[in-house]
Amino acid sequence: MHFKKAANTTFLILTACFFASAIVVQLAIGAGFNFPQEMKAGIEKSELEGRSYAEFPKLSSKELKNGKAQAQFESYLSDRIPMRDNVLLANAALQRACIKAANFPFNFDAYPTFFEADTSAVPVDNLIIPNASKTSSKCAPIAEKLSKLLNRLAQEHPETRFVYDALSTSATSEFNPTYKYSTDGFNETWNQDHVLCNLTAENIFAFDDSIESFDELKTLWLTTEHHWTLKRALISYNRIAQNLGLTEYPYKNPILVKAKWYGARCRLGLDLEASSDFYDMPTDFSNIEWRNNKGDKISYGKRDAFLAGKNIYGNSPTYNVYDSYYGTEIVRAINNNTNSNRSCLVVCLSYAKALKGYIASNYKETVFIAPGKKNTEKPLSAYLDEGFDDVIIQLGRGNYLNIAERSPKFIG
Amino acid sequence: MGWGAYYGVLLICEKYLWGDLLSKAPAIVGHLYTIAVFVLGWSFFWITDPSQLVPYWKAMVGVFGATGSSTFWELTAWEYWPVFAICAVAATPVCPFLKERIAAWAENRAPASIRETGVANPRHLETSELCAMECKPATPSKERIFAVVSVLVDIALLALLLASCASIVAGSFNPFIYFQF
Repeated sequence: MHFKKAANTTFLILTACFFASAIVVQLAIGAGFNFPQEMKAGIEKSELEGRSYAEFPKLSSKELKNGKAQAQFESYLSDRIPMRDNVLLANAALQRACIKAANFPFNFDAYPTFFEADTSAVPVDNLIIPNASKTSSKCAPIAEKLSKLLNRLAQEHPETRFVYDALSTSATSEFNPTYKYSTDGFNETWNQDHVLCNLTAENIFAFDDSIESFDELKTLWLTTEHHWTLKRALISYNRIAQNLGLTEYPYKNPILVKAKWYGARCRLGLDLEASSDFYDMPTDFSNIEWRNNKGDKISYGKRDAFLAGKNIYGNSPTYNVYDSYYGTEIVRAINNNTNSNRSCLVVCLSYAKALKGYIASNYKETVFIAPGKKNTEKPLSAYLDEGFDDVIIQLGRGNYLNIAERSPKFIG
Repeated sequence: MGWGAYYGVLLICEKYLWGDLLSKAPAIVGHLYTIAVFVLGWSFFWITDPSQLVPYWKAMVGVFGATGSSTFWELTAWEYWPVFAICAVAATPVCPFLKERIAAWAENRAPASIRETGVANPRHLETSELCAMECKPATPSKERIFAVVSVLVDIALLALLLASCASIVAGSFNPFIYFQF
């Protein structure tokens, strides 16, 4: 009978350990104990989710009545689970294993990285990709409104040169492996019918900048997130440069920035199995002053420090290298090393982050606005009234809705 | 409100119209009826716009084709079939049956039939009965093995609890593409 007692005791100990662990961790955090970073207990932000953890809700009778306080408390509690990131990843891995098994009879090239994920894994090609974006009835009118507005503004500013780089990204390309499994995906025809056909003014050079093949998606775009490699970015830049007579930069002497990092799609897809190398070129932009929206001088992300030989990412695995390497705050560039007095307005997405230095090297002053990512205070017409010599617009098919939602004043 | 009215009307109808008919019908009819009733009932929760209820019901019975305006891949139901398969097996009396087989082996007796060990047996409606590994092993060696099996079952149950907790925590996954610290 003592074996039965031993079994019961083991069960009690295991159960007690399970329930006590959460309480002990919270008490230890409260007492100021510093857990090892790997445990991620007591930290205030999540690298994996890219956000700060929820704070304890401010209790008020109004919020208790409408249920907000309860929802906030739930968020607070779930954010305080020890090793939360690891729990999320483990759960997603379990679900992914199930989806992988489920895929056996169907043999789809791509499958979601967890249940309900909008990110898919393409195991054969070691890709983590966003699921193909869908067109919607709201998107086309916004794209048409923006392109017609731009065309009218170009006619009103005949002295200004415009370039419209109509990007397709991995989410809006027909070469996205999930495109064939989806309905109403974006494609080249959509771009032509709703955007490019409206850009007829003589001083606009508009071009379709679509992904041309699956091979391009695999080799010229980052395999663990939606952004492009510098090599692909420079292909677009050089096309713009040829039209505007800017300095062309061939892709040469690339340097590896970080051997191991996790892209945005790894984070969103909770799948850290794939990896992607990140390369830059040691092009010197040290004569360019970078400024944020307060007018303060800032660096070109972590790029300056990296090229100065510093170990910018340490030894821990890093998330979102593209974002942090090129920085997120640059809105203006002043070039002190040019004879040109020309200025340029760049209406762009995060894709242009890799190109900011290359564009800014051609102008005395360059202004960057990202209406689909950050709210812009003024309409496009007001920016143009500032008298820019050149205007470069680099927008993707899937971003028109974002522009209408985040920068409602921009299109007017 | 719609949900409440739906079940209210249904209860009245069962009491005065087709309740007797249902109770006399084969069990399979009752099962199918119950499934149809609760699946329809859930649609009142899921569809917040009443004008979409009828199109939704139509879609449920395939009026717009097997996959409607989506593709089979997009519907994502295919991702879950291993889970459904596990759930279908787990919904049978397989666990009590296995438990009975182990207990019978330990006690040196013939195992009870699957009908007697089924969860439908009122004895198993007590949850402690369903999961607890209780028996009187015939020999010390069988007692040792039975104790190990008991611990393994406990560990499996705790692992299931952990997986359930992880699933609840994963429900609060709230990522941003760009860092917003």
